[in-house]
Order: sequence, then C-alpha cells, then structure tokens
Amino acid sequence: MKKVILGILAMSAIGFTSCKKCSECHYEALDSSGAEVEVELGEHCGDDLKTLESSGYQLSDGTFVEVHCHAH
Amino acid sequence: MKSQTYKLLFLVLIFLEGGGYYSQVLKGVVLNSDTKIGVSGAYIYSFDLEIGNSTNEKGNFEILQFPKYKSKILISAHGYEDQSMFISSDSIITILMEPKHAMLDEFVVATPTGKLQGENITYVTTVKLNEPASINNNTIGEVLTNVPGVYVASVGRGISKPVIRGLSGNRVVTYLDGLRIENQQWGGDHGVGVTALGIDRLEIIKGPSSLLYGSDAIGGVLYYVEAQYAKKNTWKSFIETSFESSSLSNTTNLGTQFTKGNSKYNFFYGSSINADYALPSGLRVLDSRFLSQAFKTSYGYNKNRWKINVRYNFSKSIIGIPGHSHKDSIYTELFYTDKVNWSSTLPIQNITNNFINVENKFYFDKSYLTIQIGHTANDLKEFEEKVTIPGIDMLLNSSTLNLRYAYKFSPILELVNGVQGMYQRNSNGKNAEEILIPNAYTADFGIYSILFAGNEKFKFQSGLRTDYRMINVDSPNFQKDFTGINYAIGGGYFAKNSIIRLNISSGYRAPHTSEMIANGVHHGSFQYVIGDLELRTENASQIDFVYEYANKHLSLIFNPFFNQIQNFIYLQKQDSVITSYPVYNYVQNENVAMHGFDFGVHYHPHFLHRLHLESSYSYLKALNSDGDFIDQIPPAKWLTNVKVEFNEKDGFYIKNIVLRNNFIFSQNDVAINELPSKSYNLLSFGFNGVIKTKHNIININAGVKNLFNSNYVDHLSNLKYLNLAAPGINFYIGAKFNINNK
Repeated sequence: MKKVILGILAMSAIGFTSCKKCSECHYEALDSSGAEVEVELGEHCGDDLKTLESSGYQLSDGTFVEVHCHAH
Repeated sequence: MKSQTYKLLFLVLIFLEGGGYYSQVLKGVVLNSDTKIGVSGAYIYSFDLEIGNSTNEKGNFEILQFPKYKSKILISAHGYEDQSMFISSDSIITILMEPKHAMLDEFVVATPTGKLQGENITYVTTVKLNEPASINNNTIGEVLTNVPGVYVASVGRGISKPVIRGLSGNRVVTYLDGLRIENQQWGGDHGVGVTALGIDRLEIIKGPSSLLYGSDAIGGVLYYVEAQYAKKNTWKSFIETSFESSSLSNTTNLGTQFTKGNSKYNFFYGSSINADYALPSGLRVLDSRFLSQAFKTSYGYNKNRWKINVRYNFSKSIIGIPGHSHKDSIYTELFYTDKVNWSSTLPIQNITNNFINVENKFYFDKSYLTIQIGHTANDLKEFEEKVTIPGIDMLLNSSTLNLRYAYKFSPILELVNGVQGMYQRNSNGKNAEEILIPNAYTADFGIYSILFAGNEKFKFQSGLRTDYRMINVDSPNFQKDFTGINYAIGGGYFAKNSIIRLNISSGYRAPHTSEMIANGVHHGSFQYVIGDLELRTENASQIDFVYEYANKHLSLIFNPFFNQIQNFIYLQKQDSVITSYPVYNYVQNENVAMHGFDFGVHYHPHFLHRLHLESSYSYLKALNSDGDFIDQIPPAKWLTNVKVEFNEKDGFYIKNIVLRNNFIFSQNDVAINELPSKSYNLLSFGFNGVIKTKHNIININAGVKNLFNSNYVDHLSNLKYLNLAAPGINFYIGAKFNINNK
C-alpha cells in the first residue's frame, strides 16, 4: 500500500514539474521591395526569452523592434 | 485572561472526553425477508458520520464509534433492494432485506440537507461520477449535457460552463463538499474549476437556492461530493485510462483509499491530454487542445462524538482558446488545421487551483454542530500575444467559514441555524498587460434559519436568510454595500408510489466586481467589457412543482417551474469598437420571466427484464420586461437512452450496452444581435464489460459518440459566430483496474 501512495505522489511530482519554456521568435520587417517579412531569431529560453519579449530586439542601428514568440 | 483560556481548554477536553461515555457500538443483523437467513456481505453505512461496516457470513454486523445521535443509515446488499432507516447506537437492530426484482432508481443521498433524495422537499438531480458511465464522458461538460434542464456554454472542448435553466456564470454556485469554489466564474471562457477525479457524485439543484448557499445562487447549485473512504480497515486502489479518437486524447487517473483504526485516507492523481479536436470533415479546430492535471487527498477521523475531514485539491490546466485571431479579415477556414497538435500555442489560459477545506462535526444526543473553514486560490493567466508576459493575470483568494447547528426537537421537527462568511481578494499580477478588474476585496456575511417538519407522508420546510456584501476597490477607490433577504417555503406529499413537491424560493445576487468596474479587453471572450457602478442587486423568485410516480417497472417525473428575476444584469453588445474589440456594456433589465418544464420517463418492462428505456424532454422560455428574448437561452432538448443489462458472472461478461440519442431543437427565440441555431441529432453507442477475478475487477468500455458524424454548432457555443462546428464522429475505449484488499 505504501508503494501505491508513493507511486501517486511520484506521478504527481513528475506531472506537475514543468520543463524549461522555450520558443521560436521573430520580428517583422520590410524587405527591399517594401513587403512585410518575418525575420527569424531562433529559439530562446527562460530569462533570455522573457527579456526579449519585454524589451524587444535591438537592431544594428540601435532601435528596438517588437518580438513575437510562439509557445510550443 | 490566561486562566480563562485554561478554563475554556479544560471544558473542551471534558466535553470531548465526556463524549466517550456516550459513544456506543451499533449492533444488528441483516436477514433475507423471505427466508429469514442472514445476508452476508451487506454494507451498512451512515453517510452523515461517514462510517460503516459489512455483515459477516451470518448476517451480523457492528459499527464502532457510533454516537447516540440518531443517524440515517443505508443498507445495501447484492441482489436486494436498498433500505434506509434512522438509528442510534442504543438499540440492536434487525434489518429485513427484500430480494431485488428490478430497481429503477437506487437510493441517493442529497448531501446539503443530509436527507435521502426521495425524502427531500427540494428536488435534487444526482449524477454518479465514480462509476463507469454508460457512455464515456471525457469532461464534466459532457456529463452535464446529458442532464435534463442543464446545458453547457462552451469554448471548444476545453472550456465548458454549466447553464441551469438558462442561467450561468455568477448565477450558478459550485460547491466541493461544503467548500464554495470561486474561479472567476463571471467570464464566458472560465470553466467549471472541478474535475471528476475523486468525486463520488454531482448533485444539481435547479433554481434559486440562496437560503443554504448564499448570495449568487439564483440560477442553481452544482454540489460535488467527494469519494467515500474505504470500508473499515481495508484498502482499495484503482488505475483507469481512456482514449478518444476526435482529440486523440488520453485521460489517466489513479487513486488509493484506505482506513486504519479511526483514520481514513484518500489519494488521487489524474491527467488528461487532448489535441485539437476533429470536425466531421476530418479537419481540426486550431488551438482547441488542452491539458489538465489534478492531485487531491483527504483525511478523515472519527472519535466518539467528533468527526473531522481535511481535504486538499490541487489542479493545473493549460487550455487553448480556439476561434481567436487579430487578423483584419476573420473567416471560418482561418481556424482549421489538418495537423495534429497537442503542444500549447497562443492564445492560452493557464489556470492553477488550490482548494483546502477543514470540516469539524460534533454530535450531541439531539443535535449536531458543523464548523467548516476553507480557502480557495485561483490563479488565472491568459497569454495573448507573448509567451512570458500574460495579457491577464489574476489571483483570486477566497476564505470561507460555515457554521451550522441543527437541533431535533422531535422525530418530526428539526431547526437548522447557520452562518456563512467569505472574504475574497482579487489581485492582478505586476507583469500583466491588461487589468480587466482592479485589485479589490469582497466580504460576504449571511445568517439563516430553516425549520423542517413532517412525518413519513407529509413534509414541510421554511426558512429565512439575510445577507450582507461589501465590495472595496483599491483604484479607483470606492466601496459599495449590498443587503438581501431571502426565503424558501416548501412542502411535499410522499405516498407509496407518488411524490408531490411544491417549493417557492427566492435568490439574491449582488453585482460582481467585474460587472461594476470592468473596463478593458477580455481576450478569452474577444470583448472589450465596460462595467457600471450603478448596478443594483438582482432578486429572483421561483415556483417549482414536481410530480413523481414510480413503481417497480415505471417511473415518471414532471417538473414545471416559473422563475422571475428583477434587475437582471447582462452584457449588451454595442455598435462601437475599442482597439479592434467589439464593446460590450453591462446593463440591467427591470424584469426577466423564465418558465419551462422537465419531463422524464423510465420504463423497465416486466417481460424484458434486461431492458431499460429512459427519455426526458426539457423546455425553457425567457422574456424580458420589453417583451424581447434573452441572450444565450438554450433550446429544448429531448434525451433518450436505451440500455440492455446482462447478468453478472465470474470471468468476463458484458454488463450493459447502451444506445443514446440527444435531439437538440432549433433556437429561434433569440436576443437582438444574437444568431439563431439549427436543430441537431446526436446518436451514440457504447458497451460496458467486466472482467471479474477472485480479488479484482476490471471494467472495460468502448463505443462511439456522434455515430452519424453530424455537423452541428450548439446554440451556447462561443464559436457559433465563426460557424465552427463541434466534434464529429468520436470513438472511445477505456479500462479501469480495481484492486481491493482487506
């Protein structure tokens, strides 16, 4: 019986433990023809992802653009 | 001060110890009424005290720690009719069990009043959740759609809200074994908050029930009753799993229950994973996936005149919000996908619930006292455009107190007095993009008194309650107070084959904080919501009549009602748009009148013992004082079940096969700007089998829902405006492995 209880507690602990959150991110820009394109920024995780979403992505000219990430 | 504390402690100890002198052993024998031979394996259980025991091979039994208080016991034995009686430990009882011919309805206890359903003046609908259903139900929402007079407002399959006689949201109160569940239920996309894990049954009260359940219960009550503990000094465990083809979903639950001496323990864990559901066309509805997990545990202890239950419940859900887009042009095909996907994507709800409930009950010779303290914490995050920054982030902490003292003046006269209180705090997360409801607290206080009188044939109840609610908002800072007085009066005539019940009850609901101060985007329902500080209290009055007839082969029920709600609060769509969201204002109508009926029949022909035919029809109509129809009123529904049962035997056998047909009528009585809906028919088929070994039982079930792959959109679906249909044909298979040991 103790094994059953321990099994339930172990299942609960494993089940409720979430893995590190990672996402594919991009920002929107205009290409040379003026059409809107998505510029991929690759996968970002944890605090890096949080900073990217809250502060945006800094372009080479120093400006910040809004970043969109997709949960998966 | 110190000496007074010691005196009080001493008195409490004397009181608890003194109880020992009066604590008794209940002894008796259970006999076959025809042969007068002892019935072995009969189970004698007090639902009030939550203790029981089985008879030995001679039919004798004894239950320890049974107080002198006259408690109702249920006696059940395989092959015999269920029985119930009031009993106290100062007598040795002989129980005669009548061999079962056919039982249309088993005895069910209506927990809130502590009376049997068949003896309750208020009609209570009960749905068993701890047994394999005739046809598999994946969610509580599916369970509710098969109850007469009860409906579900849904957003895909992951979010479903109960609708009782056309009322939902704040107007339907949910209780989990005496603990009021608060989970931002005002939102059209905020679901039930309780799963079927570790639940014995669901009791549904239709209509205003403020007397026992307080402010807000003007539409009805969902009362979940936790699983019973294992029998004395035994343990049992189970693991169950099921699969459904439409969402490629898997639900797995496991649990163990055991008792040792006077202590009782329950542990449960469950998880459910669901991909986007498949439409009749085979395409899937994007972002209709959801994932949920729950853990719960209970501890119970009986000693002399004292009983305590401590229950804890933790659950976490990640629910996709289908039918949501920021594109300028929105059309149905935008939400279709041909890919199977379980992983979460935006927009999404992330909900975490913690519930704790401590119930103490003290029994005296003619009375009992219940002290219940509980706390619920509901953390709701809606991620809209960013995966780490929530659009909405609200933590709702609610602390509740229930005191109830019941005194029996005589076997036919009982007075129940009670006090209920709740302190609720809504807090917004610092990182949330939107604040829909500001930080605020709500304090509720209610006091009530109910008189029960009557003998076996005639019963009567009447009661009065007064409530006070205070809402205090941080910013903009303001405070509002509301008071309400409610009553209920009812009577019943209980003959051998017929029961007549007539109830007149009132309900009261102070405006919710969200209805007064909301001013922002609610992503889940795709609305810009604006509240009104000048909203007044809603008041409801209902007349409810129930006629029941039952013999061994036929049972009938006819339940007409009329419910009138003054100052009805509702969301009205405006012609304006704010930040691309349509604007909805909370407004009030002077008077809304709702009337309708439920009719049900259950026939079990004498010449075909294995056949059960069940059918019910529910009808509802609602008009406001301007003569206009009300938004979100469910259409009529006609539910039919044909079940064939088979004899039990060792090894494998088919327990029953079931054919279910749900015909939902069209709804053309719609409010301004509301879409009508077409009728639809859902045919389902299922079978339940059992593999029985010496110690263990394995239940297996399989079947198909929406057998004809009907393409339909329910009237109460939030996806109706996008014409996004419900799931198509859906095969399921499941198994439950039960392990019992002494």
